[in-house]
Amino acid sequence: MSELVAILASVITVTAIALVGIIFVGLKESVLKRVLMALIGFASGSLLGGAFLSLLPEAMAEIGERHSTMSLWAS
Amino acid sequence: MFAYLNLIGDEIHNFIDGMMIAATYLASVELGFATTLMVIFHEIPQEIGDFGVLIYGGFSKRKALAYNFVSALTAVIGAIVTYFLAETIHFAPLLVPFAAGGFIYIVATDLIPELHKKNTAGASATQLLALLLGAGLIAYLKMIVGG
Repeated sequence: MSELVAILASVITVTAIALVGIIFVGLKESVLKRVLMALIGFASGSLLGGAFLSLLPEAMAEIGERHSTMSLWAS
Repeated sequence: MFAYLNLIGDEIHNFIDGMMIAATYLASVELGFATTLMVIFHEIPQEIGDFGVLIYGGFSKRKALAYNFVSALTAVIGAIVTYFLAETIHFAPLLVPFAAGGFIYIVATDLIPELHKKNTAGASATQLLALLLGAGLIAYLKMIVGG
């Protein structure tokens, strides 16, 4: 049940992110573009990092495939 | 109407985000937390962009904000559906690699093409730095929580 609470708290936080758009309305187009570029770069890195360093190793460990090079990272 | 199309696309995307969060929490709390952070990081620029699309599509600021919020709520539905389905069908382990594929797909088809639109030396340096920072943060989090 505590899992459900954590899940709900997380998705509600994610949902609230939908409201951040309004903060950037006043910004100049050129400034906004530069901010967005850095944010997109940051997001790319975290998604790639997450996929290759957390999710895939976890999936590998789950399957029991411990001989892969990925298992270096698997907990 | 591209504004409505964007909303529908956003709903599907958010639904899957919700599924990924629920599925990874079911695998482990640390993994769920890391996934939540990753979702938040890519949602921020995404939602700013979506908001811009809605305004450009003729929505008032208030309407754009309300519609965007309602479309984001599909994440909650995705999470709840996944949580309760996982009790009967054990598909949570399958969803973890699915989430990994989903994230790689988002980066490869959405984010990197966006970064390629600007390729001056300065822009590339900023992008690379931001990318390393993002990957580094996840690696650091993994080190301290061991997720």
